[in-house]
Amino acid sequence: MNPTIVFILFFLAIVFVIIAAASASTRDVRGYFTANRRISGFQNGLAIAGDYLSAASFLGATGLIAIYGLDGFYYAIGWLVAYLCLLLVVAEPLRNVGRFTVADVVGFRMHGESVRIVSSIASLTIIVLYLIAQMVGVGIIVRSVLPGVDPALAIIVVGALMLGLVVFGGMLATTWVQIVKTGMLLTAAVVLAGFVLAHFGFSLRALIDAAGSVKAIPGSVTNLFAAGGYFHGVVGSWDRISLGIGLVLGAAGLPHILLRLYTVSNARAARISVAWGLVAVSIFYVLLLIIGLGVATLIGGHFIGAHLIDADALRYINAHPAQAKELTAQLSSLGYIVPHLDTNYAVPILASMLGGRLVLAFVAATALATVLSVTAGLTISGASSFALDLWHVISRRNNCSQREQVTVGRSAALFIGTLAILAAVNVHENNIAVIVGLAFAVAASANFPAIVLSLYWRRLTRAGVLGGMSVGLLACLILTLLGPAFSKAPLFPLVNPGILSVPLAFITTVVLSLVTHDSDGNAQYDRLCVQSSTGIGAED
Amino acid sequence: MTKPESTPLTNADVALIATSTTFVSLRRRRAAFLILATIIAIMSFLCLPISILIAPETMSSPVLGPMTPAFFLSMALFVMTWFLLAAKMRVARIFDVDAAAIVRDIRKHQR
Repeated sequence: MNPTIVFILFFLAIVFVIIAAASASTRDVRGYFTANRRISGFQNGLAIAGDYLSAASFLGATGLIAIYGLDGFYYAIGWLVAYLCLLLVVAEPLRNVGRFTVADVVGFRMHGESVRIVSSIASLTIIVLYLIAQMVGVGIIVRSVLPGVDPALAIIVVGALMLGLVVFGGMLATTWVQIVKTGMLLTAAVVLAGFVLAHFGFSLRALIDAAGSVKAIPGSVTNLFAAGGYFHGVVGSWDRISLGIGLVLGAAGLPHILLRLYTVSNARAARISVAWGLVAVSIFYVLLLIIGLGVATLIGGHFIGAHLIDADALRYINAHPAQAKELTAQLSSLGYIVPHLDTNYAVPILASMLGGRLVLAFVAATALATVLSVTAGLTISGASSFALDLWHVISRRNNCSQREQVTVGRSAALFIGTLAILAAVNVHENNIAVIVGLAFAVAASANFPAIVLSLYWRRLTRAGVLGGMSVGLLACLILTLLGPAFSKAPLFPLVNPGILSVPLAFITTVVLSLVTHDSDGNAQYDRLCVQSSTGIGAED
Repeated sequence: MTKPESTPLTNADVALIATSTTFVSLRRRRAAFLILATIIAIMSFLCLPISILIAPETMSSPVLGPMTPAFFLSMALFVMTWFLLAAKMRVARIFDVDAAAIVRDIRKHQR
């Protein structure tokens, strides 16, 4: 029997045991959405890392490092520093102030439906975008490690499995699948990095020297340790800054990450969990660098270059218009422009080359576990926003039984998951990076300013929150649509809108708050300060 | 940190805590650390793309073997992250003790 199938079946058996064990504790709202807040700091740290490290990190970022060197590693660094901002700015006060969703924090000061509706729309937009990207990733993984299996079928099967996990197992099952996944991911990374280092006699210097002779993109002037492999010229440099802003501020506004902070008993446990998560994430990214350099060095530029997707090759050609004709012919003749091939092949190729079929099988199961755990986290987060903000608070005016809230949550999970499955089957793969970047940018523009200013600024008013969130959300979507990712004649020159949309959201929030008055929000600020600093009144 | 009891605070309790010197001092020290650490984190990170924008050649020139200043700056961000993580965990323990004292005081006052 194919070892990949064996590993996947073994993982699925673990998932089913977890669902069966967790299903008893999902009958009320606390149990279903927050696992009764009984997850320990360490466990939640591993679960947050499991939620945070998506297939894009494991497969995508490794390929980006192998092909583009430092510019590829820039994504990992952005995600790392973003995690730090989550710890510093949001983790503890959010746990003390909120109960179930992101909207709870803003809603603490600004009573009324409008704020909660806008906050929920922003959260659901982020979740759906992120979810579609992850589900599309299933097809890529399957094509990479199980050639011959129809990617659309794989998306439907994995999606159905994820829905079963969320609907029947709730947050407790999702948490344990994320913990198992983090263990598998770190094990896979250690094994692969070990193989790479063993090849160089466990000498980092030897690996670095060997990687130094590899060009970032075959035929370009840069090497793996130089910038400019992915972001070219001045516009590329601005795009790099814009991406960085979106990444660093976006993590602290991602609903599925913030929801995890409610699964622990208090703010101290939330802090400890983010700290453990940061340790796991930073170890993983160091290993990722070693693996990426290993792929570049051991597999070679020509072979990786053959897996450039169309958009990457075309972007490179577009950055060198004077030599466009020559480059196109050259890249085509060398096989660099090959339809439907992508950087996600890097890890499976390395695993297969250094570890054989068994290691490849484990990597495949890990990749599947990665997608399953991240999509489950996203779906339950979307379900909580729909059931607890839009349905319970707005539609039923806080007059809805626990049972009904859980039922609506399960139904919302089914709806959101099905929507993502249907969209993922029809979305072209080249748009994945753009969609994930957009999700981060929306989180940084719509959620982050509202959360931070709610927690730390007395003058904030309802008009400021509504205006800032709406402007941040719309600016992100419009600038992305006007940018080179979607437009052949872009009116906005950057792929990543964060450099404009985040300041716009902050400025709008501050200006509208200064010109309006909100006695309600002002009066609640002292209570929020006391609760966020001391934990008095926080949900147990 | 002492687990706060679940007795809700009245508006008078909130006003009492918010104006107490212990709480004001705690808020001030928390804010000082938060602002300083966040500025260090974000500015250090943005140093990388901004310095590449300003001096692309310099940042991409090998300085030690094949390694460039941009690569060293990237690795320094890991060190910065671990340093700020350690600092955050250290000061948070101190703040937890102060917060617990405030909770004890208000519970005593409520009785």
